[in-house]
Amino acid sequence: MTVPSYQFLAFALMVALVVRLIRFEPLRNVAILTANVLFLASFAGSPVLFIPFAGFVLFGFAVMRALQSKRVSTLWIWVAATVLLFCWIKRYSVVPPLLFIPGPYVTVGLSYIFFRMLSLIIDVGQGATTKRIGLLEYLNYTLNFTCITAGPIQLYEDYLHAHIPFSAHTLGVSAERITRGLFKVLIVSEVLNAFLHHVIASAAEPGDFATRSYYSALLVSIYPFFLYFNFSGYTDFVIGCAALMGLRLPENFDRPFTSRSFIEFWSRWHISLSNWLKTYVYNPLLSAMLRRIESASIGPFLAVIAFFVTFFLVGAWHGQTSEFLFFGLLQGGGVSVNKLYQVLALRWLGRQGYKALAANPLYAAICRGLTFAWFGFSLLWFWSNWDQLREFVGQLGAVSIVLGVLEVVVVATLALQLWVWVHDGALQLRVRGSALVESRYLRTALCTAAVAALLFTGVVLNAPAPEIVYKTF
Amino acid sequence: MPSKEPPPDWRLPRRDYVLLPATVLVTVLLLTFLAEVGARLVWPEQPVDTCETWDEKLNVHVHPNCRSTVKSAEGDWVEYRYNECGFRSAASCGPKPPNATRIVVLGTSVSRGYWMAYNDSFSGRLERELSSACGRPVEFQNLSIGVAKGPVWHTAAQRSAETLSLEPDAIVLVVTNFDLIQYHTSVPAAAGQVQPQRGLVDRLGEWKARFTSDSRAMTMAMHFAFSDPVRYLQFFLRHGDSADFLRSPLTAEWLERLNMVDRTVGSLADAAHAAGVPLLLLLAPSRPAVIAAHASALGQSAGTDVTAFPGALAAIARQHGMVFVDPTSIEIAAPDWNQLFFFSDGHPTASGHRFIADALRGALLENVPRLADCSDVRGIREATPGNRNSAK
Repeated sequence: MTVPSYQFLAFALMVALVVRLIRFEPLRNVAILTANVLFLASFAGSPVLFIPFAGFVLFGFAVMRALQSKRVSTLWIWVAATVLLFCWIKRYSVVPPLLFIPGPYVTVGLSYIFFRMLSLIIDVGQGATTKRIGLLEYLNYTLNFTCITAGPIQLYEDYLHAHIPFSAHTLGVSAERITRGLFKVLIVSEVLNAFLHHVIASAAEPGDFATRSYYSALLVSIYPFFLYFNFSGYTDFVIGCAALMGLRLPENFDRPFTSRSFIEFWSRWHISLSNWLKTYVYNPLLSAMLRRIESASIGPFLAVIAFFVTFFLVGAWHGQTSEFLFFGLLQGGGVSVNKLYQVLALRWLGRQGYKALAANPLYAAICRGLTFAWFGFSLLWFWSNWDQLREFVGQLGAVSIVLGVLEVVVVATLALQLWVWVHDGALQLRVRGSALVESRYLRTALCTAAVAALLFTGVVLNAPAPEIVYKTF
Repeated sequence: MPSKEPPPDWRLPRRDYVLLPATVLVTVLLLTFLAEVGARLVWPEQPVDTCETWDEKLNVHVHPNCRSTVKSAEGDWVEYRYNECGFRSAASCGPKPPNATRIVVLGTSVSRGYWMAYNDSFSGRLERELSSACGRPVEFQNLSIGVAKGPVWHTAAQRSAETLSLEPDAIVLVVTNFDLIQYHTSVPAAAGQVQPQRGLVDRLGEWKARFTSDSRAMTMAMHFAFSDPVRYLQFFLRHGDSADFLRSPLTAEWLERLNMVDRTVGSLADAAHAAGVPLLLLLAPSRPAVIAAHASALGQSAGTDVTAFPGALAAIARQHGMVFVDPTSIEIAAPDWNQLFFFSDGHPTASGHRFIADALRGALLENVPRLADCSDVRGIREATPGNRNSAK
């Protein structure tokens, strides 16, 4: 079952209806587990294909229960074992291929299950979670069908306190999120995807230097928008579906392209992943380093290292190939250079001087442009492979690509500043003390427009076989 | 399951039960109006050919020596000119001049150059090119058997006397898969048979079909949605019978249509052979066929068989001693192969007509005795202004 899709929406609506109608909690949990299993079953015809998947999930439960009952004490060994098991089942390139399980099997959502499982193991092991978690509850938490395929990553403590009571408001807001999500994924990101393919095809044709740098700029700048609309649309959709069932999922995006630094960007992009890694990698790593090196002057530089490791993992986690390792290096490099710059700027300018510089609108706009361009550039390793990249360099030329990236910096600086002004201006428009953009009438109208666009697209794509149309009559 | 929070104190004001649905309604109406008006302003269309009239049997009658101006939403304004017989031709349909070569083209909209200026249609191009190559007039007379809203292709056989009265040196019968698909719904109800009552679903389907064909916004959206050839083919292949000519084995319906082609061609071929006139069967490819053939040439057949339908037509042509012409292979080799058809409308563009002309020219030069002495057509083609596919 694809997410998002109308099929998934119908499934989620049915589950929501059942879950909302059942008052008896154990029965409700069984109904939710049934829904989770049914959703997973849609990915493969044979239960055999789920054996490694099921083994991984049950391994996590066994470790958690063992830690909870104090039968095992060395937490880090179990964390390492879980990570290794994950890399083995997901066939990461760090594992020798000879060791891989032969044949196909289901790995859908395993990365997100891994995050939920690992956080639970660590929290239980460190005593942050003391509640005894039963198998049913564990499975419903780790296999939650609304967010199993691509997040958001929800921590167990948040999951525990995330109930949304049913009301007209819940219904309206959920419908709005679902519509917005479908609109972003099925229309906006589709258009951007088609545009990207057009640009890739056009870039292959011979052109002058200006044309080649223009195509380089487009190659760098289209994909971030495509990814944003695709992923944030998916997130909107699943947040809306989960809310119908009464579950509040965490937000994953907060206007990321308005970020004025790469560090800020990662606190606005895929927020649940960044937060997870900050909690379970960055903070423990930095604390460990600070415990060993008790120097006030070196301390800030340790944060640079911790940032690099954390965001290298962010990048590397996205895929199994060397391109993703390089993508991780660019993310880690971007964030750590950003942190290093902050540390040095604070030393040179002092706290007040740096604060004044950061508040300068021109400086902020340029930082925004740089942040966007770096992210767009680094994404080249996310959506293409080495062969394609060599092809781009061959077709466009290294100098054109560098100039294209510089063009992106300039255009993004101007365009994103304009967007910030428009956004802030829209928030200033108020009717009877409330922001106009928050008006339920305007939101209803926008939602209706999105639904109309989706219906229209549906009609276009399901029109009779497009052929010679005799319109003369 | 997560613990419960107290429900928020949030209720809709009473007026919102009216205002919110009204907002939805106004938004839909406003969007529809703006989209349609915007599309009509940006892409005007004049589909009505004022020179044409239709009788009850769906036969088209064209006023002699008439001129009209039409425009496809996706194309340019063009002028249609008809000669004294109501044929779309630059030459008179009167007695053939002694030194002229006359080719009669029989077919539907593609052969008539629908949405095309005459000079851009394959007939107009060939008339110009062959006249230059032969050093004497080579004229084309287009006998349209209808820009059809019904199954009329078989009536080509009924035009044999009229066709031969024009003293042709060759007859070209043009067929497209779209001409034949119309025979799907053509079976009339038997006498006394009660027509089933149309239900709500049927009515909604009709309404949707009408919206699809009449809305300019829809045309515009389809144009952009179908500009990507791979995506277009995927959509096209979803539509069963319409797309079955691209699959093998051919379905019973398509075999029945081919039987009709066989009968029509047979009847026309008998008359042409008796008069000693060469007869050519030209398959005007459609966009899905060209895309599927292009994919097939790249080894990506995607469950299609692009040889079954043309193969069946070629066999029919062979059986009746006709020359079969299929421009598909020339079209898929073109650099602009995705620009040969209007994306939404489906008729060939000027580029599409150019390749039909290319394929037909070779067949005419090889098979029409009166054109045997014409040479150096290739050189003339290369010198033709606007020819973007010059040979190297």
